[in-house]
Amino acid sequence: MHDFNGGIGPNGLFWIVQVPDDAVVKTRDTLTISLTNVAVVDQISFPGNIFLGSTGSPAKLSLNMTFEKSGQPRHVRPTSKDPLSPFTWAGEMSDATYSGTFSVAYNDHTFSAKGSFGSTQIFAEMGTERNGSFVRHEDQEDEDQQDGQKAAAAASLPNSVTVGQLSASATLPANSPKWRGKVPVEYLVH
Amino acid sequence: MKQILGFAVLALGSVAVWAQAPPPVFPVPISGGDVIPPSIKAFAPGDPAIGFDGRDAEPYVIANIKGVTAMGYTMGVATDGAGNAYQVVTDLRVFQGDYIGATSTFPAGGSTSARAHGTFVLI
Repeated sequence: MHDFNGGIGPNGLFWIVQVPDDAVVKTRDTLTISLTNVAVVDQISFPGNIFLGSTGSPAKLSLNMTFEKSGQPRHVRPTSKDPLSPFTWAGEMSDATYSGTFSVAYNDHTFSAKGSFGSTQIFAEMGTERNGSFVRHEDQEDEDQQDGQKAAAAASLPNSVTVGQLSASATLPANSPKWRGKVPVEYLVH
Repeated sequence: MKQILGFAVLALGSVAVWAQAPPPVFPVPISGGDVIPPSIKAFAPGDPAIGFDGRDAEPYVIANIKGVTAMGYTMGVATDGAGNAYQVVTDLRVFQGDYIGATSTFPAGGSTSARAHGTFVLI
């Protein structure tokens, strides 16, 4: 078995390689990427040697692949505030397919291979995403907007209206923020 | 004395480089990830019925990023230089956008946040 990957950075950054912006070409429904002689390592097995980090047999990988949207976009909103959860991001994603060709060779030329992928699709998606501080910043803006609307509504009420009366009689204006979250996933199978 | 001189030269060298180009902004990994074990800084989006984390699980492995992403898993075939056939299983992800990473600000390398733009591929 061979496992070619970008290695694990000293800070834990997982299998990531930075490439030039112009390696990616986007259209409305496709994303194509072309890489030539990217430095990778062959960690021989996964996950058995994953603790090895960036060590392994150094190699160069070239690939061309194209993602293509295949479904309607779905809106994703954070459904967890646990920073270790996988459900803390926001975006708009569509199901997709992808396929491509690749070649790989050890730097010492003792192994090389070429092939293609995409004949069997397991799962793919593409779209836009924001996480971390980009989500928290927007959430804060949403809260500020809601606070502003509440303050404006309160300022327009006569002084004699109580909170109980407000709750019983208030109706939401048409442009009020609506619940956009998803039901949290409680059971995950590994 | 040698160490002090060495440090002084290093500091001056750093100033010269700083003047030529902005300091690099290193992407920071997401906080969570799959516990295989060990714990890794990546989730596996996909159908939980076949062992993935869920369709809406985080595809990025970089924290504080906003942009375009494409990811997925496929299978295929390959042949090595000796003619041996292999089954190929891919987990490939592309990220392009603005991110807030770490840059060296203080004398010992202490970090502060900085914004940058980049294209990254998970291979």
